[in-house]
Amino acid sequence: MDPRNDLDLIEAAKAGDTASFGELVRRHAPRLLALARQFVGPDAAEDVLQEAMVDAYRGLPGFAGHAAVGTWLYRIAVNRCLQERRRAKPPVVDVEPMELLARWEDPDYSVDPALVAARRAHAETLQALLGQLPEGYRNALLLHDGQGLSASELAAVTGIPLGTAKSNIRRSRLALFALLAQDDRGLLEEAR
Amino acid sequence: MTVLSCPEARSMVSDYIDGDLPPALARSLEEHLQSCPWCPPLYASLVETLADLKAHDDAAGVERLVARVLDAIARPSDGP
Ligand SMILES: [Zn+2]
Repeated sequence: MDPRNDLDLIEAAKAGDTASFGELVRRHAPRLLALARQFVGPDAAEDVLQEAMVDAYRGLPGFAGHAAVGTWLYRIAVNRCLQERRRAKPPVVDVEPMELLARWEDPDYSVDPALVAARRAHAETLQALLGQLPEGYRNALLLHDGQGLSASELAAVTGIPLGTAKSNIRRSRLALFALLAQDDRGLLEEAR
Repeated sequence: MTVLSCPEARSMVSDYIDGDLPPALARSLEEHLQSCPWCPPLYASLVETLADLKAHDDAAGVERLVARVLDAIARPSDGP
């Protein structure tokens, strides 16, 4: 393994050594690929990341070292993923989030844990349900629960106020769960 | 200790999962989850569902991506 640290690689890349930039991409690629595959699916993930890493390469002169290199690359990748999602999949929001959230307010609300477990067993089901949620909710689930970003990181990366990020985290979880738990065979078939 | 209704308890579970609930409220919620017949399965099921979303680093495709990026930056840009 290359003993140089990320900042050494950045300096070398700035000086025109593209192999050093390649090494930087290699180091961070596993996390970035996981991100992109969740956001845009396995087929588009590498295309999107290629564009993102070219953005990063062109942005090297502006990298001042205030953020960690990994965070910097990550933000660029998230931006490209969000762009791609908006381009490829115009939001088809066919659920009413407030109606889903209201279920949790009902003291009698309960779910069949076996049904939830059965539906969770299909990875495609979660993906399909995520696609039905508003963009802010989906971003919260993928970046906070999926990628482990804090609320303030979510706010910074997606350009929304911190209060909105916190509320999206809370609401998106309850909405996704209510959607997953509803006994709706049609939805289940569709998700397969 | 505040006795929580089910809707109150459910409105707090997300913050609780993230460890963001003030300690007194966290204790009230834990108390509720021990005594309520309805909320515990909801809570357990929610926690499992969110765990499914967790992304795992994925080494597959790394070298192909590196090669594609190096190839793209070596090409003269087709900009203006
Ligand atoms: Zn309860």
